[in-house]
Amino acid sequence: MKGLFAVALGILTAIGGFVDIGDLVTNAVVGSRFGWGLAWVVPVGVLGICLFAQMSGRVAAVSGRATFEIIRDRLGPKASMANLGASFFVNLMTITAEIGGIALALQLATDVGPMLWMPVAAFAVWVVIWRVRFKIMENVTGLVGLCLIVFAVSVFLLHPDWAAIGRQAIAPVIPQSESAATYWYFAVALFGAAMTPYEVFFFSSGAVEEGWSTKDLGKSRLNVIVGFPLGGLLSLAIASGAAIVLAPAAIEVTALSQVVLPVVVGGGKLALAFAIVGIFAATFGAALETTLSAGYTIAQYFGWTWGKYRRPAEATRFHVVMIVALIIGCAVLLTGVDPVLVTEYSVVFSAIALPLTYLPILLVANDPEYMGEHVNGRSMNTLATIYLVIILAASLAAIPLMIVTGAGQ
Amino acid sequence: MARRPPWRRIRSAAVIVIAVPAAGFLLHGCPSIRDGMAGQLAQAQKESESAVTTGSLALDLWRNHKSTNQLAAVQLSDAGDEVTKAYKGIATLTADNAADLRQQRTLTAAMTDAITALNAAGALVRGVGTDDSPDAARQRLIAAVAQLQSANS
Repeated sequence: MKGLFAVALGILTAIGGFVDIGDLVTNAVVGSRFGWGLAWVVPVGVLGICLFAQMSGRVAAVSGRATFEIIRDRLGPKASMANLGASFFVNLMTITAEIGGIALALQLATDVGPMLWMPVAAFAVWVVIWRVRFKIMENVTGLVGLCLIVFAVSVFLLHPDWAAIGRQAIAPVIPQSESAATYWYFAVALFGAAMTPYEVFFFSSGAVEEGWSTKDLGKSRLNVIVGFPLGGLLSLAIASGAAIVLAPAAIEVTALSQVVLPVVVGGGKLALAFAIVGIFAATFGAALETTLSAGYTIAQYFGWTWGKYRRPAEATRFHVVMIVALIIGCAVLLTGVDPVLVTEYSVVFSAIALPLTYLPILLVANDPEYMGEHVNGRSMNTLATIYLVIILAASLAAIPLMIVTGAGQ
Repeated sequence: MARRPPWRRIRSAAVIVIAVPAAGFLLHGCPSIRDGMAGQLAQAQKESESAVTTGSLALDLWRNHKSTNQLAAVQLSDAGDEVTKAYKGIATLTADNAADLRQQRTLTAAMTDAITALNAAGALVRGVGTDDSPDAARQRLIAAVAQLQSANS
């Protein structure tokens, strides 16, 4: 019974923790501009993140070491420096976006400007990382994040034409008001939002924090295979709400306050309360994960002592990196840059950095020296190789598409 | 000083031959260069119309007690910021023909009215002294949307 509860809790946490500010904004933007025309990207991205998160979790469970430690071992310091640089930069952008997301969520509830909330949010993230136990932190944000289910409930309350949705999703068409380049730019952005690199670093480092062994492989696989796709359904619900309410009114999403409009139209004030709590939990949880990922990647690369399970005094450099990352993220936001704009750029830069993150994971997962009998099977490698081709194509196309479309104009 | 091997020079030349035209091609495709002033005016009009429609919907939901004061105020304020951003983007453009100049004038005038209507609606929602009723504020926003639409025709 206790084991079953642990599995259910893991799955629920994975669902609630799947959506972050990148998913919220990108899905709403895409839904408002393309309807269901880009819905196919979500399952493609979700399958990709399932594949590589499961792989990095297995590496951690079998070897007892986090992904970045092994990448440095396997590729050497020079080659893995490129990986570290790209991952850390994208992670820093994501931290910035998430802190901005927390501030915007609090603004929706209070009408107090986000600039006042940003330092509060960054400080709260640091306090939680400093004081709260890993398991509690992960479970609370994941479970409260389940409030985002209100986006799915709202879709039903809006009574859409399901047949039309099905037709658009199965046979996607580019709207007349949009160009093919813009369509593919947002496809890359949506893919980048689903496959954000920090998710795998957090997943593998979290596995080490929780002391996973080969006995936990089944549980981790279940969390990923059930939890992430259900989280992906939440992403689709956000896009669907925008497609039903915003697209017909020619409203293009440029602010978080527009993302909740479909929820308010469908469910009124009660639904709005759930949506704001869900957005707060999702962005706060993601801010914790990205901040920890900043510490994890740097500490693992340089071989420093790391881990939340250690007292801060025992892992000072790990904690200093996280504090510095939070200060930088907050400082960038306090210059007055639009958090939604940071989010939009962070998901595109995620797509650019994807090959540097996922290729080393595939190499390590195939190395018998670390994995023993748990190396990837043939079908897993075939699927992963197909994904690497997609990832490479998205990465190479991202910058030209960004220039040609003026970042999705 | 050691000379660079010939293959390196060939590689550098090849990179320049490929990268420079590619960058030029991409920059030529950049919307602000590709579409010119007319395109930028159309984009600003589209963004402003979207923002004011958001404001109108936000006010409507608030009027019908489906939304909170806080959310409606934030939505109206965000909509005002969006129109202001679009205004700044086109106000300093230099027109090189009479048609663009005329459209720029009409559009900036419509955007000014839209910002005023959004500010008035925001003041109403926040309970700051205003004589507007919710219905009148909504009518002003609907009129602002119509004015923006006609500014592009």
